[in-house]
Amino acid sequence: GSSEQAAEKETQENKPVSWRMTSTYPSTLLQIGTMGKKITEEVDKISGGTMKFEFFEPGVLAPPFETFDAVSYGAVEAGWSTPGYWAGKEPALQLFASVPFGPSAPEYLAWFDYGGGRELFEEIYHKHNIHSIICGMTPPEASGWFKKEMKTIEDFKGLKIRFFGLGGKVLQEVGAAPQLIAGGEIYQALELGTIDATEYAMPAVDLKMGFYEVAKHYYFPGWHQQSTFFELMINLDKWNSLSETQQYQITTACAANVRYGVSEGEALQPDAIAKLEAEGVQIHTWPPEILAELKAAWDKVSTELAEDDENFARAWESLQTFRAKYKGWADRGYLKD
Amino acid sequence: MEAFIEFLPFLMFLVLMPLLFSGFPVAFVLGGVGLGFWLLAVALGIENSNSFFLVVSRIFGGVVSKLVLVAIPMFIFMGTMLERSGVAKDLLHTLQLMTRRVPGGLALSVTILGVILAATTGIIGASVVMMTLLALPVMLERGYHSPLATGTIAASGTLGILLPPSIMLVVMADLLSTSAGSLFMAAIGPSLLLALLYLLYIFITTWRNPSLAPPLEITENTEQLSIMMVIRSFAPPVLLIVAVLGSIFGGFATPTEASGVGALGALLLAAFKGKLNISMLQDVLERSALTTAMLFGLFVGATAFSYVFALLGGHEAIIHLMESTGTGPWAILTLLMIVVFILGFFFDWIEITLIILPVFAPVIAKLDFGAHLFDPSLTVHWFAILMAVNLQTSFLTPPFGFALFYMKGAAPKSVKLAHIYKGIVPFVLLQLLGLVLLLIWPEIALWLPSASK
Amino acid sequence: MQFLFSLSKKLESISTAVGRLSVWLILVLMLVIVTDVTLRHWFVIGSTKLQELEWHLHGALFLLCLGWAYTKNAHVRIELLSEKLSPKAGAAIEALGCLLFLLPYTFAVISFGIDYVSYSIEYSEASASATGLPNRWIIKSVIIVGFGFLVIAALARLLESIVFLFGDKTLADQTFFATDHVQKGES
Ligand code: NA
Ligand code: NA
Repeated sequence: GSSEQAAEKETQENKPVSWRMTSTYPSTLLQIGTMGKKITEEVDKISGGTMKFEFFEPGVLAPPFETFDAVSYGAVEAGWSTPGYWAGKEPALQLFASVPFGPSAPEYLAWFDYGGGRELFEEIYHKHNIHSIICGMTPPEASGWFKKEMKTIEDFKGLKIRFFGLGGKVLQEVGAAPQLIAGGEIYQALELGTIDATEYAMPAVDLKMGFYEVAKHYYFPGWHQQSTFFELMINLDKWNSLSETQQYQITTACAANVRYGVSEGEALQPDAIAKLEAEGVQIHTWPPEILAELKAAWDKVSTELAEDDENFARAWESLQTFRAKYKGWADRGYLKD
Repeated sequence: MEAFIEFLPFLMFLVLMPLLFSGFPVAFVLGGVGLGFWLLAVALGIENSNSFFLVVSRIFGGVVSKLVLVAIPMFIFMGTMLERSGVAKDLLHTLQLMTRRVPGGLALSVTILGVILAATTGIIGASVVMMTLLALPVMLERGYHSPLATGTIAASGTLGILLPPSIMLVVMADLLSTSAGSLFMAAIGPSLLLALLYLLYIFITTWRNPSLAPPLEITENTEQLSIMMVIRSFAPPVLLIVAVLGSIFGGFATPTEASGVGALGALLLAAFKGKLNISMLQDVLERSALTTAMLFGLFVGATAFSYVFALLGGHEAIIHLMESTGTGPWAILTLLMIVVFILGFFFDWIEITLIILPVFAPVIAKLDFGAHLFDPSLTVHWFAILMAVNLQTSFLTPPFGFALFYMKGAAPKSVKLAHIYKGIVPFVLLQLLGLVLLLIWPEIALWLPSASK
Repeated sequence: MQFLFSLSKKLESISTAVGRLSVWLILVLMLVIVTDVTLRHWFVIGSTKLQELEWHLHGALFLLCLGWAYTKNAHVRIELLSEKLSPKAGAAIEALGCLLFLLPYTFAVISFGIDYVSYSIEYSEASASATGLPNRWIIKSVIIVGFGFLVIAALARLLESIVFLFGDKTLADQTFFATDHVQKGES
């Protein structure tokens, strides 16, 4: 009755918002962190200064991998991260970050917006008292840095490689030994041969990290990460307390941020590649046989994961269905070189 | 009211100071004051009642699940075992015999030992505790002036965070978007420079005042220095150092894992010397565990305090104070250095880097020092090293010199914090001298990364 | 008073027993690290699980020893001023410290910790790494358990300080505050 109407009316008012946003990445980290910083500025501007998200560096409030719990519990109002980190809570969320042999940006967005992705994503997150918005995107990553050239799938047997997430599981399937190395020790471990290879990020970021100084073979394409989603997480109660206008302002700023991530990301890589080549890095493309073997391993891994977790199965099914249909368009609509 | 709320983060320190001197454990005073101010903020309506939840998150995500911290109990065990099995004492005794004609010989040897240990670990807690366990009892037994002994150990123990491998440089590389490898190289020269300054200082003061470091008294019972004795006392620790460093540089283990190799090595050495038995092992384990609990108790208490400080807007308040002064590259750099030094009295290095670097990293990258830097592309590296030396100093400056706390926790009960505070003063001045030398001659840091490009 | 004193001793013996047992985790941790290094280098076996086990062991070690370290007086204190005080004043400070700092802090960590852990159990949280360990709630609940033993240790010392301050002399002389003072006088 009348109290419902009152509540309805209340959420229509644009009450000023001053929220804390904890981040998984430092604000200075190319793209991955700068997109997080940028969204706080965009929201500020688009709301005429009435919505303030204050960016907190990882660890100042919450440690990087505690972002999910922090937002879910309402200890902070918002968080900047990627759904890929929350596999321990919901395995399905990995499919909303990047998928091995998965879609590139337009197809991924098409599935998310129009193929049923978003509904599932929100359903999963709402269960955890979080409203998450896809709020950033990056181009394909590199497959990583290898100390030796990789000629056949046999070369993966016994390869000590630092690799995170679903891709790591695939590599384990083909006989590699994925390693957990503390972030700061990767460079030295690679230099000294404690590990033989590492996955990291896209060329522009890898260049800054200086991995070319210690490993000369750089592989493409990044089969494990063709495009990556980043997210703005908001505590669900806080999200519901916003007016419709404010919610629109945030989602619109996020849509612009996704576009910014893609355009800046694409623009940054060519120079980075040129610099890496000038540094004497040997840039390789995976032989088709190796990619086929890795794909077969991924099919096995994804089937297993879908058997283990119901939500993973639903998301995987939805993505697969969409991609099968999409292929009929992609094969015809786009030029092949 | 507004002004009171803005003043709250600083009030935390004003309240903390006298309470620390109550003599109640530092760890729990920190935790309790953090909680108290959070409750006050909730009562004032400026904080939500859920946010203390993140203290648990910080204990788990920032302390328990940090793989690199695994090295701390391992190095503490290694140090305790070496001390208990007499390996450390034999080595230091021989060193003292060998250097008995050199003023402050034992202190000089301890400094060099500190440099070697620094190359195996990048964690201050581990190296300071290990150095304290190994060297402090022997130095005191030999009649060394307590402040000189503690100052030497605390300062050379903190070299570990500057000399690669260094967790601090890795974090800074991340925040400054540059490679850890090139920062590692830039840190080698300055680390050695500081070690050299310590050595010179010890040599000169003990030469002018030999009573600070009495040379070994030779009585008829004193064993003659012989080749056998040198081999017998040097072989075990040298083997151990080879095992630890070898496992890292041979590509067998990360520095974190090398700590486990070192722990096993120390255990085997004790067994080889015939000192290992179940009651000795239980004793070493207990002492190691108590020292570990002391150190992590500090982490667990301090995390609540620094979290509430950040919640109350402490970081912005500091930045705000800084931004109101200074233009021009030298003014900005000098101001930053002074502020970091002052913050170092009260905060730990993580806190300071998180306050300063994200805000000033873009500014620093654009600073132009003209011909002062022979390679302007290394401006950020130079800055990072200046900052790193400054942050290393923060471990040594009272009242919150965490190296001093670690040392206090691992030292014999007869060593008072007053001795430790007194002993550190000359070494802090040496740190400042090192900083000035680095400002004047950036080449000390930059020639190595530049040459290897 | 006699009852309070024996209760204090009982509580202390609980946190001591837990601590003294947990110290063996150091050796387990050492063995896990060495096994991991050996397996990786000579047998090339994937070891994300072992590597995660390392910090599980380390976390359990220090958390379970926090309380024991308190009654063993191993936590750092700044005794510049306090050592000049009388034993009575020292005991009063210890009691107030427990009541105002230590116990409230541990209660806050435990009560938020229960929310933290029950969430982890409800969603059977696992490692974020696809090749890591399951059952994250186990190590998370060690935070609560460790702080629980810290509460026990704090209560032990609090009761002891009450006995020392208000009990008769024979009993008071057996407390930590009497014996600790004697030690201080000797050194
Ligand atoms: Na080091
Ligand atoms: Na300090």
